[in-house]
Amino acid sequence: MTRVTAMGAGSPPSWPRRVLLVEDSELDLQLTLDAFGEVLPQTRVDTARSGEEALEQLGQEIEAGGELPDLVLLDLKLPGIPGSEVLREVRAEARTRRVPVVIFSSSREESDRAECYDSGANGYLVKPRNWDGFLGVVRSAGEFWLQWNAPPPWVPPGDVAPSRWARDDGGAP
Amino acid sequence: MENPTDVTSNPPANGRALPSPAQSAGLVALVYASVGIVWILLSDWLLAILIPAAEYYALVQSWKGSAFVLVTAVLLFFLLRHQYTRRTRRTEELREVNQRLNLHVENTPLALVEWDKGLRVTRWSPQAEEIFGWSAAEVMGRDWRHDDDWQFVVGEDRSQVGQIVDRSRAENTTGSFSLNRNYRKDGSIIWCEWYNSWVFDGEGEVVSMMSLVHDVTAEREAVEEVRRLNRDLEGRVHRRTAELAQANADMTALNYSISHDLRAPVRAVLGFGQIMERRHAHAFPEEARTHLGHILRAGEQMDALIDGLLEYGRLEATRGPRPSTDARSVALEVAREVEAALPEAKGAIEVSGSLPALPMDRTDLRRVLHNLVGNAVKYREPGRPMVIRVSGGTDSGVARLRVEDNGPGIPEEHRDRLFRLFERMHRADEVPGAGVGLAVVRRSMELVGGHVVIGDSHLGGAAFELTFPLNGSTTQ
Repeated sequence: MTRVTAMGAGSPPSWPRRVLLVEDSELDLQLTLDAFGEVLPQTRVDTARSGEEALEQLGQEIEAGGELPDLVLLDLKLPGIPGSEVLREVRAEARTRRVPVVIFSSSREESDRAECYDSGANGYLVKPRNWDGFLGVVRSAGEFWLQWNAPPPWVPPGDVAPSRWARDDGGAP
Repeated sequence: MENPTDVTSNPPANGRALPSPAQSAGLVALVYASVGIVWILLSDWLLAILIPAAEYYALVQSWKGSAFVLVTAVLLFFLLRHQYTRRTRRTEELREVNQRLNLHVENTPLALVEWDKGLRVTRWSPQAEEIFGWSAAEVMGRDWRHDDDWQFVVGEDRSQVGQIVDRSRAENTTGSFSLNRNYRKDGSIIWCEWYNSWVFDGEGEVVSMMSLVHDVTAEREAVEEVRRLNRDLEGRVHRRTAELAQANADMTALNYSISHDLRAPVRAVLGFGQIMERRHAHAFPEEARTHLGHILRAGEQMDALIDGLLEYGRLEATRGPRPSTDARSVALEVAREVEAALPEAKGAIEVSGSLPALPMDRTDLRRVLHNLVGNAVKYREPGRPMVIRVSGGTDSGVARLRVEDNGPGIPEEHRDRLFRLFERMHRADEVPGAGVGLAVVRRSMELVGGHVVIGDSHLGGAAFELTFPLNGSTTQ
């Protein structure tokens, strides 16, 4: 597995540096990679073709002390371990717990969506019907990452709204 | 403890208790003695007053003795006649009561069997002969408990029946009941209800046991039959329910499979096709561009078919309370949407001023109306301004909704076929569509127990007539 070198040392980039795409379908994989090439050309996309492969890759990175992906795009229907199980294992492991995982599934079922959020998914994107849809999905993934990593907005001193937590501190044991 | 009841010697209800023979005889003797003593005392005293002359005295005395005998004879005559008359009348009454009782016993379908203290048969009514097959002569004096030649109570029931009788005797109750199986003479088995009463004598000692027997074999068989049918029915309902659940599960699995597996190749066709169109089509020869256009349209058509199939597969009966949806507000919404989607269609969608409340979920009714109004717009006659009218009302337990237009109409022979999944009147390249809309309409109507038919509209086109049940039954 190749190590990822940090991009510029100054301000953080406004795109995810590295995405792990877990997808078994060759055609969907190609379309997604193609869409990344068009929308987020500077993002490196690693691929895993099964749940086992994805967990193995993440495990190797942890052992090698390397950087984890900025975002995992995870298909639900995979050969072997299903995507939902991969998600649960990622959330159960202390070092991968904070990696954002966005589900990328062809299922529009409300129950699948609810189950994924219950298991700790950060987002749920339905596989699109056509090329425009794929471009939209990659754009959404990039925007999601940006918001996820956005530094807290600068608030001028004296204009700080009273925090609910600060107020609760007084009465809480 | 209840009073012992003696069935055969119950006093008639209308008479007082008869004095005992000793009482009757005592009464006669008492009257006789009283009259005799009064006579002796009075007659001599009277004689002394009436006949002072002593010379007649002896003669009168003998006359007096004869008169005494005559008077007492007359007295005895009346006394005895009175007693005999009472006895005879009472005996007559008793015989009459007995006769009526016997007639009653003989006319019931119940058999009467009487047993002595040792439970040997002492009476065996004609009905008993009929029910059990043995004649009275054959069973008289027999005891089924100790007579090995007389198989009367079915083996498994013997101890139970014996216990019931013994316990009733030991606890000094007036009678007992048992429901058990008996053999008939021909060896067949019948179910009998036995109502047994002990007969006591004047001192409260058991004289016999009287049994009324009801043959309930037919009833029990009928009850058993009903039970068996019920079990069968339950089993069948159970199996059908399981089959239905399986079919539902299959349907859900199919839907899931369709949404995942069928969509994937379509996604690839459309995805790569569009990439090719965007990036390379300008370099293609004209013919290749046309072919690519066909591929993309076919892919879109396939995608629409999958959408329709999923929509159809997801339709299911509403659970919980019966919905009541204001048809007018839904129809107005649908009309606005359709008009907004097709601004180029010249014409009007009219929604009647009063539409009934319909027993259909709002989302489902929207879908139904959307399909019908959408179809009317899609298949409008190009030459003339389009008119679509939504009207309705209620009558005799049903609500009706009518969607009609001034389009080309639907020929009679196509009307049934069009409600089937993927059936269309036009080719997909003439008018786009998946052939799912009307199937969804019909399925939605069936799920609320209603139905839909196509007719002619006086506007000139087709009329879709929807009928909804209002009382919870179906309209079929």
